Amino acid sequence: MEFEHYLLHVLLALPLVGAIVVALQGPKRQTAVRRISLGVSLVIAFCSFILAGRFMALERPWTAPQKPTERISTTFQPEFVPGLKSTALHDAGTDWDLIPLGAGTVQFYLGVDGINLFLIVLTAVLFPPCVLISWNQVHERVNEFYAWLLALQTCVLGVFMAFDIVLFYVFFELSLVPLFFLIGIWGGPERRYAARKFFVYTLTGSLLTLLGIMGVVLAVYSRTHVLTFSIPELVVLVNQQLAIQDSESRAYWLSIQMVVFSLLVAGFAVKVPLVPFHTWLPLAHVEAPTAGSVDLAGLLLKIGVYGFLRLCIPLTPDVSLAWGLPLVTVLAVIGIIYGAFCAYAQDDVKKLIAYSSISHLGLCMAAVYSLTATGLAGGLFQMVNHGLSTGLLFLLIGMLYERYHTRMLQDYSGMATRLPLFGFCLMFAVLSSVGLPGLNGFVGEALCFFGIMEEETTYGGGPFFAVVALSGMVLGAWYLITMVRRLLFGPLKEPHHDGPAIPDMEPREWATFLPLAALCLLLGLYPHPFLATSQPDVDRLAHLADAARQRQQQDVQARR
Amino acid sequence: MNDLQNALLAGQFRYILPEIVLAVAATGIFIGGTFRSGRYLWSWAALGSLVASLFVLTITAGFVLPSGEAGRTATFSTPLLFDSLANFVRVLAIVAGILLVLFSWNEVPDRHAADYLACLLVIIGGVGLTACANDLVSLYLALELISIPTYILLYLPRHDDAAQEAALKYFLLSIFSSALLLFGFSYLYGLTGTTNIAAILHTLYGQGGGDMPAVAQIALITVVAGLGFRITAAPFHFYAPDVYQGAPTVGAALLASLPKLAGFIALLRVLGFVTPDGVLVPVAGRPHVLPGMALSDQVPILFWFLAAFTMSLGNLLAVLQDNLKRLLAYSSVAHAGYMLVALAAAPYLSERSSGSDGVHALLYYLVAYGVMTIGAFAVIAFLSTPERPVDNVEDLAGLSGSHPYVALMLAVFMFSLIGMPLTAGFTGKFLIFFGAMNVVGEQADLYRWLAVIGMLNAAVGGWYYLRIIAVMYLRTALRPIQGRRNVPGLVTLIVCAVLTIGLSIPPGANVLLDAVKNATGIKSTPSPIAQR
Amino acid sequence: MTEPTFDLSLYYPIFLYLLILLGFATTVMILIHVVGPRKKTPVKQMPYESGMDPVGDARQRFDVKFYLIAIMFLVFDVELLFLYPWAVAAYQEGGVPEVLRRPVFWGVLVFIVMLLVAYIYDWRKGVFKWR
Repeated sequence: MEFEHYLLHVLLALPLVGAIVVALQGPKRQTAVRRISLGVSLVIAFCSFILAGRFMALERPWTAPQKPTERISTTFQPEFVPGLKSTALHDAGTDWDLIPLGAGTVQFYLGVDGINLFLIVLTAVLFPPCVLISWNQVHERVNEFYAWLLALQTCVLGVFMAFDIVLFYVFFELSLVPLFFLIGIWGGPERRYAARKFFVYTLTGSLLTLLGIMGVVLAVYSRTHVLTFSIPELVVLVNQQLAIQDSESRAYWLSIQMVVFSLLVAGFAVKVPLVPFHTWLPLAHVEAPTAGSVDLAGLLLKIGVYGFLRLCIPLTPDVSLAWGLPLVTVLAVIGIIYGAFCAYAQDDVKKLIAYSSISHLGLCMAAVYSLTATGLAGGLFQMVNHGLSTGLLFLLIGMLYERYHTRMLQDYSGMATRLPLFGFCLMFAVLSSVGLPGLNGFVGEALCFFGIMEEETTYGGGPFFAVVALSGMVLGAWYLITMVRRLLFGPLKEPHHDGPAIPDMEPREWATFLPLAALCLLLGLYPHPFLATSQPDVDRLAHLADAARQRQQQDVQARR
Repeated sequence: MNDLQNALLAGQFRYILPEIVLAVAATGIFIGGTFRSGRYLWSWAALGSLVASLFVLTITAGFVLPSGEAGRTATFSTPLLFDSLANFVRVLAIVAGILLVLFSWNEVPDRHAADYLACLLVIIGGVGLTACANDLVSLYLALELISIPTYILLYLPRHDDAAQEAALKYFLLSIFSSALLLFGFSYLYGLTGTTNIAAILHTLYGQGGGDMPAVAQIALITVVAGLGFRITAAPFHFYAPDVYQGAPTVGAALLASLPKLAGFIALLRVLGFVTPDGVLVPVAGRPHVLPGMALSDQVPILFWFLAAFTMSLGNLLAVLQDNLKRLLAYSSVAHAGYMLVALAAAPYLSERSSGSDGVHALLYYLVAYGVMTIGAFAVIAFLSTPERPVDNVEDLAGLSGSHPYVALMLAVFMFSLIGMPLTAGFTGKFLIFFGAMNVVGEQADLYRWLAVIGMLNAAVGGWYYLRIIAVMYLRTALRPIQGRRNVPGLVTLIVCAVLTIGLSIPPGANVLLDAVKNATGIKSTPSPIAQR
Repeated sequence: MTEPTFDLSLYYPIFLYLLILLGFATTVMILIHVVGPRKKTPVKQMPYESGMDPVGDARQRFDVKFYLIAIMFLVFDVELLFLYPWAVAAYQEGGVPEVLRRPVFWGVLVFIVMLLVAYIYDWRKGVFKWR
């Protein structure tokens, strides 16, 4: 076994161990707690870079099988699986059994592929800034704060790494607990209500997701007599079943997919959030402490999109195409416009960014649900982008709040003269977020639009959606730039504050800003390695969608 | 009665030695308590006898059971059967008894300690006998052996108005439910001419569920109503909130765990979800009947509605509660609903082997529910002092500051009741709803809807359980909780917390799942010896 | 068909029994009058001394102590009801089967012991104390 096989465990266990160590430090030893947390998160970030490096060095060619019935096994197996039965043949999951359930076994099945690699890296990268930004913001129960923060990291990493469908759900659900405490204890004045609302909203959705997960596992079992919880195996089995040209089997799988799709979407749509299910988000964002907001926007929302990519599309391709594509795209496009207008109307900067998240995630979802290779790649890329740029925005607003204890736009004006360096940083983050060419947002948004344009529907919706989505992005520039104008430019108006003059960016704050900004630049200027690495896996997903398209056309022809 | 049957009957006594041990100990404690009072002495005695009973059970479980023709005769004639399900439940009952003794160590007044503990031992014996019962009469007696000491036990530790009301309410309604049960039993006897459960099921099964006389439906409904009282299934739940609130905390913990266990086991036995070999033998030319549907083919649909109604009502009303014990009472109703989901799906799952057998899920959930509920009540008892009682949810404010570890354990119980992963509550819910989703054929959609209803209910449950966690962690207390030194109470808490987590992950989960599977090891596969 | 002969002399034990009964009752009555102490209080002069008013509203409360006595009495009454059939059937042809005789015997013994235990319990709990 090579050392990559331990790498995933290190990544998963390190934050957990760190959380326990930090929790045991007691509330008195604040500096020690902060230093340990920072150290742990830096090591994790370092490990994630090694992981990315090793993964990018792998040769992972993939060509689509010509005939739809051709065996497409092995192709969904991730890399670096700990406890792999045999490293040579990547088709049997892992040896690390957890709980046997009749014929099948829930396994501790972790892995990396092109879809989750950069989300893992994003998770690892976003945490050191979170630790740093909370350095002076959190004074009460410091050990608990950092323990929950590190526990949250474990859960999020677990969601992204899990390749066992039950394990995925376990991490998915557990990620609520740390965030509940982070918002509830260290949040704003409405924190208790916000924390409970956030928890119960997402719990409701995710419990239905659990039913969807059971549904797909059991449908596979009743048709193939294989009871498996391994996602790659399920994907293969489902798509083999779908390829069977038999009207009875086709009808069965269409109805099953409908059930599974609606149940899965119930959970992921709340998490993303798609528009009618978004009401928990602004509240949770406003009340959360800065680190919580960064994690919420940067990572937790991505879990929703990731769920669509990992489970919804590969496990229910037909219904995703027939129902999901119009439904999700319409909701996402509504979200883009609605989020943008809501954001423009906000006075609270944090709420503004929260609504901008709804808008941006809408674009992400519209791109993913174009079900084209370009759109999927764009959606994936945009997830990482949004994590970086919105993370930056929340961090910068957190710094401002730390100085003046207000987030209301009317309290500020012309701050660029007072805090020029801060102004530059905020401008950078905003430009990254609105998609200035040369920064990461541009690449992602461009790919997303291409994807939506390519969308082949029977009613030709693609270009229409793309136009609406594009106008949404224009709106995005409008409200973000407006925010910058009100905040940074114009006559100077500084909120009241006690004590000496407010300092500009401190070294600790540069340390939170610069790494993320550097990544924004890197992804904007040279996105090729990213796109190339995720290409094979995105192609596989697109291939499944194409197969579904073929089946749809066959059905249409058969009906004629 | 022939000689073989008489010999088998005479041979039954050695198998109930564990219960005899408990009965003798209870008698001793009753008498001894009149000479010397003092809770520690009698708590040790009760603990010792429970451990002794467990030890004796391990020995009697090794005794050879009659097999072959004698085994068949035993099935159809003896009042008690000692299959693996019985032994499993007896172990559960004794372990629950040990936990409850530790729980009540410092809760019961000295003057009543002996009576209280003796009653507890009798109840444990009653649960054990319920699990063994194979005859309507012995089943009824065993259930009364649980009820009658419960009346005393609810009344003993406290004498205020609320406690009296609780005891009286429970007494009257329990008698009413017993009467209903007897009424149903009399119909069963009238239908078949025997009181032996195996023989009743065999006879009814031979008639094939479809063309059953209407009397069987009446018997079914009254039996389910009578037992529904014990498992707090709506609409037979209405006593629960008042009784739990008025009863001493340990009494409420007992009511939430042991009668539920006994009630569900009795349902499994009487309705034929679990039957010994050779009972459900298909008759040529008759439609094939699934286990649990011997009495009527309406059993699953009855449980379907009962489950949906029970969990919805329990969860919705729990949201409105401020009193902790009332909240837990409604939560107990809600969880009975989840367990009924397992029963509703069980007949259709009996022939599928994907590890989602409804009875397995039910047994697992009973264990999980018992552990987390006893734990939650133990926290309330642990924190309450006469000067500063913990009655309402708000009274827990700031617990994380004053008692961080107790707060953590209560949080574990609450998360388990919500059904968060890494707790027994999650694994239990997973098994139950996995079963409901696993039903195929015409009923598949019906059960999917039931699962959706169940999950929405679990989410509603999240709201009020979370409120408790939120109060503990997110608020500060006006009057800090004092608590007191209470080592046995703390031991109960820790054991429950460890089990709540330990039973959900390997190796604990695997051990329990294996035990549950062994418990229903006697499969209802048709044996060649057909006609009786 | 001859009528069964009715010989009154065969029934003399009944008459003897009646005679003894009446004699005992009379003797006791006389003895009470002669030996017993007398206190003429209103309560003492009532037909029932147990606190029940023979004339008046039937819905009246009376002491819970009477219930205890009644329950104690019932226990022993039922005991007799239970023991009598067993005593008749225990060792008879067609009664308790051979194999079951010993278990049943022990069962009855346990039953009696239980009553004894209950009796001791009552005694220790002060049921017999007329407080």
